[in-house]
Amino acid sequence: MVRTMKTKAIIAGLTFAMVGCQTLATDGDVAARITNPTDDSRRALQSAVNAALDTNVTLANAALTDSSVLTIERNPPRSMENLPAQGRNMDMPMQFRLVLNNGDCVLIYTADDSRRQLADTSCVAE
Amino acid sequence: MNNFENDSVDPWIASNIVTRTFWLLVTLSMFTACGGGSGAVAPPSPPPPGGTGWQMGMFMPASTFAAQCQAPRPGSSDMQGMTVDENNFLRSYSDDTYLWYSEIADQDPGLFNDPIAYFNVLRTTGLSPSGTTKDQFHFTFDTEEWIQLSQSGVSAGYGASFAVLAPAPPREIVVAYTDPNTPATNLPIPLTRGAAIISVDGAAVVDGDPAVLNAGLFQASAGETHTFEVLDLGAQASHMITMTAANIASTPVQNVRVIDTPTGRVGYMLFNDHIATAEEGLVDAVNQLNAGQGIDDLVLDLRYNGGGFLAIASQLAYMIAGPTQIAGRTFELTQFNDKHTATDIFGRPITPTPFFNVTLGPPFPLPPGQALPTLDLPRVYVLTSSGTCSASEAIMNGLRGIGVDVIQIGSTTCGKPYGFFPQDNCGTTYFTIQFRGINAMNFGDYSDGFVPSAVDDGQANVLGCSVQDDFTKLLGDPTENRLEVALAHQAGMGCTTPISVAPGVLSKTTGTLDAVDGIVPKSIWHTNRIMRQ
Repeated sequence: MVRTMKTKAIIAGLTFAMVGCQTLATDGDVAARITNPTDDSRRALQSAVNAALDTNVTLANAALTDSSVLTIERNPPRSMENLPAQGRNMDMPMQFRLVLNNGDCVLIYTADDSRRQLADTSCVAE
Repeated sequence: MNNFENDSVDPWIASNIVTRTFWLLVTLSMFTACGGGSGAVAPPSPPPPGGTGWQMGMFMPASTFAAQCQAPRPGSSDMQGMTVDENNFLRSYSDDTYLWYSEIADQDPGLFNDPIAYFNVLRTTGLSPSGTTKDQFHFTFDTEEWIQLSQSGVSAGYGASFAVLAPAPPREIVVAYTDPNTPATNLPIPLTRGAAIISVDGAAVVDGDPAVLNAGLFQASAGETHTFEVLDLGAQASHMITMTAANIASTPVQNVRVIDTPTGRVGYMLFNDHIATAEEGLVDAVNQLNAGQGIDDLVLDLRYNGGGFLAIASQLAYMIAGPTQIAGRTFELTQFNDKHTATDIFGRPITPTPFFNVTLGPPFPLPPGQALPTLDLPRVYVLTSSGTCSASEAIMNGLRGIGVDVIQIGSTTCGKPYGFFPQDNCGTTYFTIQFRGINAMNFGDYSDGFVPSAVDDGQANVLGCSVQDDFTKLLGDPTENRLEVALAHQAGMGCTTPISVAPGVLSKTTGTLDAVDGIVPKSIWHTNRIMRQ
């Protein structure tokens, strides 16, 4: 019984180490872009971005396929007269970087350097 | 964006403390006004039962009332409060930060049952020099809508921006421009500027159900499919197309080209949005224009550019003018009201926006610190419309501020030298004008827009020609009305009448779409209702 619990704890610890935001390895990061995106890989990317920003973010189907940098900004609402609500924007956008690390595709949110491994995603060095 | 800290004090206790503090301050101020008194001065009467304690011209800090909500948002830091608390927040916040705070008629917040209705009276009623309302940008958004995010330049749609030439029957809608590699341009016959939309899902544009038209044209979510009858530019017969909306990445800089003329090489670029990805597009455009023999003049097409990141506007202005003309001067200085002369409304030092001469770096897409290419031009032609707004106007103003000749071809711009820091309170995000931008010559009073005029007066009248939009030609076509007049002006002919609209001259095509302006809604936003009954 004790052994079983220990095993479960080890497995849980390893699982956390593999997917936890703060524990992924950072050595050997290489800028990367997504290849052959699928519905599953898009879902993985969407989930990671939403989790980092704590809101639903509109992404293009081809996000991160032609660049390792993903820039996010407020989707400016337009008035009837077609003018962005905040036409003189002093804010800053948000940025993610995709890296290839030990065969894994890892999304980094540059504001806090949090790292999220993308499941079901293939990527190549940029 | 809420800059007011909430603490854990019970809201009702806090409210009582606030009330007591308020009346203590009132009392003290009256004693002070009376020179301290001898003890014979009676204290002020307490507020009447059920009153709000409102005293005209006396304001508590806005933080006193922040996040005290009639309907607190679950899971948020909102506290239980009353409508009058929300109104008091708006009253104090406006008194502190509104650019024309002294022109607000102070009204009892207890008399308004709706904070948005109260917010709407917290503004100046003053008029601009032309007699229009001075403050035309006072509005709110539901915070849940305002905080939505997207990949830079990505929104649901077809990749075609439509110009609404007539929103009420008999309606008229045409394509203003398209983005490459989108459903609109991947059709067997790609949609192009000037294509007329005849019907949407069976509803005739001219007089059909506006709900159907809005749903198909402006409110389609990714994955929705709609059917359109279109009449392509120059075609004799219409045809049917089907498009499925997708999350489209716009291309903010397009149609970059060089036009050889007898009076020199004239560059042209269409710049539609000051979004983060525009930085790379603008650098590429300037490099393209500089290639080979370079250019002698530039026509910058901002007719559909409503603004965005001011830093991008500064970069483009630098790339046009070059380092010699900049000569250490600033692109734009931000001016707040007279309560915030050294620091902004958050207490940060006010620093001018420089002419950025390098790439901005993260979180903007390009690596930081790369020198920007420059065109080093002493003048620039700018194509404008009423949709040319804010950061786009800042380009014109910033360049004029350092002596670059700006020649305006088109119609009067929107007139928005102002800006705001959107402020959430209780689920509503409020936009109240808090600053104006002035150029290196201390000019920023163009609330009626920049007007193409016979003489440049150094203020809102800009040398140029008034020319309406022309949907019979593609953008960047030298025979499109606005570009045509710009090229004629560049050739020393002054303000000519475009061939298509000159009396006695054969029109280019049908002649119905070449002297009009229209609304070009770019983004799906379900609170907008573009069509009207």
